Amino acid sequence: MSEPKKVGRRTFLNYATAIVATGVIVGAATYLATPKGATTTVTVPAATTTVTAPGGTATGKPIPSEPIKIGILTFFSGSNAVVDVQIWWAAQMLAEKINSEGGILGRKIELVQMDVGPNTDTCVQNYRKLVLENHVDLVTGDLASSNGLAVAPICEELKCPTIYLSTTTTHIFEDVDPKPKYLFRAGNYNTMEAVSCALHIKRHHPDVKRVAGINPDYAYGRDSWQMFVAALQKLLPQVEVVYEAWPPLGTTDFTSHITATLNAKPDVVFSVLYASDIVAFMKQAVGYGFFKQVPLFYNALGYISFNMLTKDVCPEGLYFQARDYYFLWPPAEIWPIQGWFVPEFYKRWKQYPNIDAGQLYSAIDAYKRAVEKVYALTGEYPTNEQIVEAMAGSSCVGPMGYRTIRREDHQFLSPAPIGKSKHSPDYPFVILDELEFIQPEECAAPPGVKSLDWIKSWKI
Amino acid sequence: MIPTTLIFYFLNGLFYASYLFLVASGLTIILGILNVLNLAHGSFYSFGAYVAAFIATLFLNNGLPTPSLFMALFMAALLIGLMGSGVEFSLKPLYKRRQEYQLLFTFALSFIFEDLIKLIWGFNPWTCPNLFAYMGAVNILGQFYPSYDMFVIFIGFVSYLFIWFFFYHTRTGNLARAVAFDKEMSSALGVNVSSLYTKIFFIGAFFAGLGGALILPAINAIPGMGSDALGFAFVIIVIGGLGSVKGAFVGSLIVGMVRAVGIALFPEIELGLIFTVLVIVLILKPQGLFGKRFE
Repeated sequence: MSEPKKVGRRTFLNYATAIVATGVIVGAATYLATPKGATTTVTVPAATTTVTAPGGTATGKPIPSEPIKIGILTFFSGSNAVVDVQIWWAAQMLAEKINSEGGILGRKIELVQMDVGPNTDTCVQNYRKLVLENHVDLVTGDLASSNGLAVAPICEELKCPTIYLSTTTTHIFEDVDPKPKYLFRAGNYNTMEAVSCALHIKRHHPDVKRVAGINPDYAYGRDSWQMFVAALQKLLPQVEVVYEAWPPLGTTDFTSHITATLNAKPDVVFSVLYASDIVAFMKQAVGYGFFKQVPLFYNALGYISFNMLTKDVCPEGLYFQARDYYFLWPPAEIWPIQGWFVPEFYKRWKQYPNIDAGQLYSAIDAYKRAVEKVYALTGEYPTNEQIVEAMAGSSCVGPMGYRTIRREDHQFLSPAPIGKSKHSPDYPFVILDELEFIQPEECAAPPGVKSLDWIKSWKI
Repeated sequence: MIPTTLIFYFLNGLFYASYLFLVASGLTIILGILNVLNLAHGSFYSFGAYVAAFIATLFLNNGLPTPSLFMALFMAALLIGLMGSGVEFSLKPLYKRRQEYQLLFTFALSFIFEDLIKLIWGFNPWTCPNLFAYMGAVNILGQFYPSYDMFVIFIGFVSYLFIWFFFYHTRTGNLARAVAFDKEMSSALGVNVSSLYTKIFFIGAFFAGLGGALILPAINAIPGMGSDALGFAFVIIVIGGLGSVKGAFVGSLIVGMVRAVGIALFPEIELGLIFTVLVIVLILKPQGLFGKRFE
């Protein structure tokens, strides 16, 4: 009994020595390697650093050796998870790509998964947890409007760069956080959806009179409808609202809404129903011959996986607003990012990337560019404050093309696509055809002006 | 034109009432006879939908014709019935304890079931679209109404007749009412209460599962659908009177009609209206419309 014990202690000592020695060597190596900022696989050459920032390397903060942690705070549970899982997929894909190309200034990206949870309290709690316990460098994801409003002040308080995807409510930057510092939004917001639809109607169907709406009964649905009606009535003064339905989120049975809408005999129906709600609605609507009786149907498709729009559910000729990204545009030939993103996404996940997946790309790209930009200028690894300052007013790329980031309200902007549903033999689901892009200047309120005030100030 | 619209509102109300009745009836039967408020009842409904989608997909992938999907729906309901018996079996040790324990137990089960659904079927909506399209639509005075919705209404009525027949004209049904009236006395007179409880749970779960399976072709099965249905089932059985099948039937019709007409006339307060009815009933008749012991 005693002999093995002895050997055990000796082995232990041997191991301990080995571990300590390795630690010392590795530690020394990292210490020697990192301070000069040159030996790690850095995309920005060290030469640039010394040229643009004299003395920067001497006093500059070294590039930390630990990975950059990106918290993906989004719906991993509940009915929204169907759509938001694509954010996680895109994040994994992009992190692998950036890491294989040497990371951000040599720092690898590490993803931290965090569920938004069932209500606003948990969302705020989980956000704090990401920042304070997981010590993430960036938080991104789709939070939904109510959570987004609650997290905004916390984000500014904790000073952690945060980029919302979707989370489209106007109130975030118009009311709650009008002068954001750490908070950004990498998605066109709901004013742009509603106004672009109204502009599209004015352009192509200027003789509509009777308009009805079917929208989810919460802030997003209410705000979108209000802005759509305000804009449409400005553009086409003859328009009158004949019926508005307010099904709660997650409604499965829309039969009564369909009957009531048909009874009002509208020329155009506008809806921001999304995810499985819009699919259930359309399926039942087809059963009632709804789309044969309603000449024009506009839906903001912001929040859906495109494969959910199957051909038996969605007839041809309906208009869909795809927020800021549709996977068929721009073509791969003219935009290489799209050429990599879409096929790779499909290869891995057997689905085509949705709007949020596209937004995630631009969010991480904006962060990466900001870090590299500050480093190139100062020779120091940037602080959070420097990163957000560099991000504001800059631009980035995504599969949708170039995107600008407004300096004043940190809103990412890109043209708003609207297309017509089409049954194509090349895809098992319905695709959008005749895509038309409404420019951000036309459909987004200028910074500092509230959307409704802006719409009301139009002179036509 | 107005009469057509009225017919449609009426049919929509019946449609909504039909599948909610299937959920509410099981809930009220279990509450009335076992005195267990089964918070996992919504999960039977959602499992019914998911299992039906699973079996239907299996059928279609094996080249079975579309009408065979009716069989798939029924099979799903039977499986959910068995699942209900399983739940009852796990509840047995708790009957001697206070009601709160059963309540918490079924509450816990409802969460476990919800997670199980996500684990097994993921987050994508599941459906069985073929049946809905296959049955087409009927023309009612120039307007289309989906035939499948008619079928759901029909099954709703048949189910009520079946439940009524079961409790008043079969031996097991009569015994169940006796047990609901006085459990100790029935037991003393030789009724096997334990096996009766299992059967009752089977029936309750079967109808909830049938509700989920039946509605599936017209909707999408999504995570969380069970808790919504459970919420309305509660409203229905409180309006109708706890433990009363007749109450559940009338309650479903009231909720269905109020919703259909409410959406047309007062779209702003769609949900509020249903709960207003609940409040009015509770003020005027706190025990519900048909509230007594199980009868």
